[in-house]
Amino acid sequence: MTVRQVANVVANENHDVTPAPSSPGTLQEAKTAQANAVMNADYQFGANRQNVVPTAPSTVTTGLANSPQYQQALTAARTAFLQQNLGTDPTGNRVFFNNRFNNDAGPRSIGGGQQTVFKQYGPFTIGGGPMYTLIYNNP
Amino acid sequence: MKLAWLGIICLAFAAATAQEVTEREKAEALDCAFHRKEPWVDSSLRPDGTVRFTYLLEPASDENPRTLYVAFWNAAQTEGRLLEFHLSKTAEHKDAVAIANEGSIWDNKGQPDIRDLQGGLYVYQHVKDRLPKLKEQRATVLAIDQMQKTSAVCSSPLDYFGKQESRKAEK
Repeated sequence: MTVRQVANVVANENHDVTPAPSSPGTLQEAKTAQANAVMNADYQFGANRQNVVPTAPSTVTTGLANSPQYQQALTAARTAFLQQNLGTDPTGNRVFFNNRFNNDAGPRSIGGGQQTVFKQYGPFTIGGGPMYTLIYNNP
Repeated sequence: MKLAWLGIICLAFAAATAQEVTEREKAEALDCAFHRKEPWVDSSLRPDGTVRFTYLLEPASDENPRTLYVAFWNAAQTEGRLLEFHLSKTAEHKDAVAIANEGSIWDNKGQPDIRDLQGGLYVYQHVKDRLPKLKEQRATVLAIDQMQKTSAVCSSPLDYFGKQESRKAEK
């Protein structure tokens, strides 16, 4: 994937999320972690990525591409690209992420087993309610 | 001219059938979810060894193969488990079924909602938008021991990580 394609995924997956009550920097960290996770999945699974860790499409609408939030996603993807090359990926090679609309940091079910949370970011705001971004340990 | 019309009819038929899931594909998805390893559906949703499920097929897109969403419901069809299957062919032209995502369906003030899918808000909203159609269907009830054994090539994230570990171990 190109950095631009990763940015597109991140922009789609965070559409209209605002940072409050957390700081803008924390939301940017969450997006950068997601960008790293997408890059890790692309590196590990290549063309099979969507069968293992599905995400949003790697294309965006013109409206989103011209928005300030898209620039944040692009910055996140560029930062993640640098971190990948420097060996400072904050996810530690993890590929799974999602959002929860409460403070639950418990494990996620997968195939009759469980997947524990590596890191939780937030709370952020979506649609007037809280939202957290979670990076999971690989199963 | 007749040949051209025949060709158009054949293409239309092929396009139409691509939108439908076949009984074989359904059997393959269930086989992958219940027979190959640990069942992907909680024991609470398979009382007495039976499951209640509804399904929805989505055509292939630029980045995904045909996708079969199967919701396994409780008796009241208010809560359940959703599995996302990606249907494709292997290089050897065998049917391939990938369990690509899963989440828990819950009742959000009378509306079906889903939690804990892999992916961000886009994936969440995409799947959530399909829940009303899944909920309004009449569920098929099937005993797990009556599910067919198939020759489909099944995969899931768990299988894939096993392979990754093997590759690392080989190096």
